[in-house]
Amino acid sequence: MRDLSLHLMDILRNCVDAGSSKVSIGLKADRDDDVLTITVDDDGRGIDPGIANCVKDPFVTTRKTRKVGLGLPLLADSARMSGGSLELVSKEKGTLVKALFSISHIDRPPLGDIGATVAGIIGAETDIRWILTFDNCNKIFSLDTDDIKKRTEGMDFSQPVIIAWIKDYVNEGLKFVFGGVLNEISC
Amino acid sequence: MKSLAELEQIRKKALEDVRLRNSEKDSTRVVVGMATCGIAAGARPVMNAFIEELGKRSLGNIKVTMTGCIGVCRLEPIVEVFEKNGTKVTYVNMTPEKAVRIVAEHLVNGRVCLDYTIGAAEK
Repeated sequence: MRDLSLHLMDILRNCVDAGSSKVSIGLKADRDDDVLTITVDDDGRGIDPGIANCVKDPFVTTRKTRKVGLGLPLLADSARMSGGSLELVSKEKGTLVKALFSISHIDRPPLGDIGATVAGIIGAETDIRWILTFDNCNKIFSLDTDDIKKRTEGMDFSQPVIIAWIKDYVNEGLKFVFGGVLNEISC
Repeated sequence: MKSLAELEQIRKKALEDVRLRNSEKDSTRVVVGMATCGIAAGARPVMNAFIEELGKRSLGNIKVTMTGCIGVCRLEPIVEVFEKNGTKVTYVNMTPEKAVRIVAEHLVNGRVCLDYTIGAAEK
């Protein structure tokens, strides 16, 4: 994966496959500790306790098409390579994925086109409520698909014009929160 | 800075697009393989190219969605086009440029881009 937005897409697909109805996505930069935290919190069916301890093993997967599953292992590797870690918390209902990255580490992947990831998944999975929050240096941006639903008065927002607008909206928020350059994190 | 209020304008435009094409009620679907294999091969820019091009042409009745691993990871990014009449066309080794051509030739004019299909790749 070239950047964090592609990892995010991969993890969000897991939430969809787990049958979630509400997914919260968070990107939070903590300048004092030099930590970027990406959280994905869903209310899906969760990870089978039998494999919960070994899902970071690429040869453990629930998919049927082949015997390797690389989504979480690749994310775990990206996090580890940049001085961070990947935590998985099985909740009563659903899973919380928490990926930590050291912001200043030279191997930390750039943020990438988060707007394209978020807009793509919102448009493709309109039945799920998506909540997005960016947080950096007291600057906060958030998006809740329930608000979009209200604004569009229940219209199906998988329409290309609406998805394109969401993409630009999210990327504007990303620039506002994380600094002028889309890919980078600054104050 | 954009605000959610803009959505009301966009909604009007989108409704207009749908109204104009209401005769084609069972819409065509463009399904992009978005598993780890697809994402790593560049599926997301392909999906965005479809969304952008469909938006430009006001083709609001065509849905762009995602699916998991289709099973031929070496041919990713893979895009399946499900037509109104139930037929399916599978495009492989996709790029954003190819997506633009597929919108123009296949989705607008109904001519399948045979050279991009799985049949052509696996001859």
